[in-house]
Amino acid sequence: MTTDLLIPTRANEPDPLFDPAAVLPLGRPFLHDVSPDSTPSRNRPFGLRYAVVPPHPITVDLSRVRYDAERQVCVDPSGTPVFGRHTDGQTSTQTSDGHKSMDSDTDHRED
Amino acid sequence: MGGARTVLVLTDPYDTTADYVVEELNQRGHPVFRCNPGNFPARLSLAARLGGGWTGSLRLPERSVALDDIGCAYYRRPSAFELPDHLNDEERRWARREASRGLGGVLATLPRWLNHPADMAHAEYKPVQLALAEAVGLSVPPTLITNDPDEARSFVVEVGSAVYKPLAGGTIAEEGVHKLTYANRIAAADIDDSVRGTAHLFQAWAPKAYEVRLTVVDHQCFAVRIDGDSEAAHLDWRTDYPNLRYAVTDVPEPVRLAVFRLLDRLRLRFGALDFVVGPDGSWMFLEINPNGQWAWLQDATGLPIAAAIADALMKDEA
Repeated sequence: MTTDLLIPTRANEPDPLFDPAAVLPLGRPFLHDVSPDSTPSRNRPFGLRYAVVPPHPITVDLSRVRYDAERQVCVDPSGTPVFGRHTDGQTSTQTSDGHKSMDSDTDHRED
Repeated sequence: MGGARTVLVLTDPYDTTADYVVEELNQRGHPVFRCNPGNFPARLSLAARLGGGWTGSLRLPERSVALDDIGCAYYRRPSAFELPDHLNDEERRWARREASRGLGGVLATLPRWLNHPADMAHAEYKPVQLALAEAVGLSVPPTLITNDPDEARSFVVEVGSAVYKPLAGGTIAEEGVHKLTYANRIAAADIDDSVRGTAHLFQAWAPKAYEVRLTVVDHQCFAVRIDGDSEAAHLDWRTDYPNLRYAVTDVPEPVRLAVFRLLDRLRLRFGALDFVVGPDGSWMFLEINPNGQWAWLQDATGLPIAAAIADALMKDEA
C-alpha cells in the first residue's frame, strides 16, 4: 500500500500579506524590460487611472556609462564619475540594446 | 585584524546615489565592498560556514570580503537575481527562493545596517508609518484606506478637498512604457465602483505654502524647502523636477523631536520624510521613505548628506 504525498501548490507561494522574503527583500527588480503587449484592462482599479508616464525622466545612456570595478562607482568613458546625472528617483535608463527601464523613489521605494 | 571594518554596499551597479557614499568612503581610505545581490549566483558567490556565527566570504571576480570583517551594511537598490537562461520558469522561481533564503539569510545575520531591510520593509507600509507618525505627535492629514466606493465618496465630501495616493507606488509597465502614479486631487464625483478593485488611500488635501524633504541620518537633520513653480509641482513635486526651487531650511524643535521618535519607533537610522508646510507655518507629515533618494538635494543645496551617511556607516556600533 502506498500513501500519496500531497504537496499543496500554495506551499510554493509567498504569504499574501506577510511575505518572509520581506525580511531581507533581496532581488527587487531595478532594471527590467517593459512588456510591450501589456494593455490596460477595461475594469482596472480606480488608482490606475492616474498612472502616467513621468514627464521629465533623466535618460542615462548605458552605452556611455560603465561600472568601474576598482573604484566601485559609475564612470563615463573618460573614467570620470557620473555623480548627479540621475539621482532624483525617476531615472529612465537607456541601455545599449534600446530597452528602457525606470526606478522610482517610492520603490520602496522610491521613494 | 584591528583595522577599519569594511562597509558592505548592496546595490545595483548603476545606482549613482550609492556612488556618492562609496566615493566619500574611498576618499577617507575606508574599505568598501560593493556588490549587487542580483549578481548572485552568476558573478557573486557565497561560502558561509556555521561555527560561532557565520564565517566565510562574499566573492566577486575582482575582490572578496570576509563576513566577519564587515562592519556595517548599506542597503540601497539591489536588482533581481540573475539566474541561468537554461532554467524554466518553475526552476527559476525555486532557485530564486533558495538564493533569497540562502544569501539573504546569511546577510540578515549581519549585526549593523543602515537601514536593516526588514525594518525598511516594515516602514514601507503607509498605514504603519501614518499611525506611528500620529502616535509620536506629528500632524497627519485625515486619511482613509478602503475598497468601498461609498466610504470613499463620504470621506471626500467630509474633508472637502482630497487627494488619492498609491499605497505602494512603483511602476506599472504597459503598452511599451513605464508609468508612475502620483498624488492626484479628486472630487467625490470621480469615485466609482472601480474603487472596489483594490485598496485605495484617500487623504485630505493639506493647505500648502511649500513642501519640505527632510533627510535624517542618525538623528542628523538635512531639511530642504521645495517650492513648485508650476501647478503640477505644487500638487506633487515629483511630477515636475525642472520647475522646483530648493533652499535649506530649519525644522521646528517639536517636529524634529517627533521625527526622531518616529525613526526610533521604526528602527530606522536613515529616513527621507516629506512634509507640507501650511500658510500658517504648521508642518503636516505626508510620508517617510526609508530608502528615499537624497543625492539630488545635496547637489542642489550643498548639504553634506553623503558625508553623514559615510560617518554613520563607519561608526563602530549602531
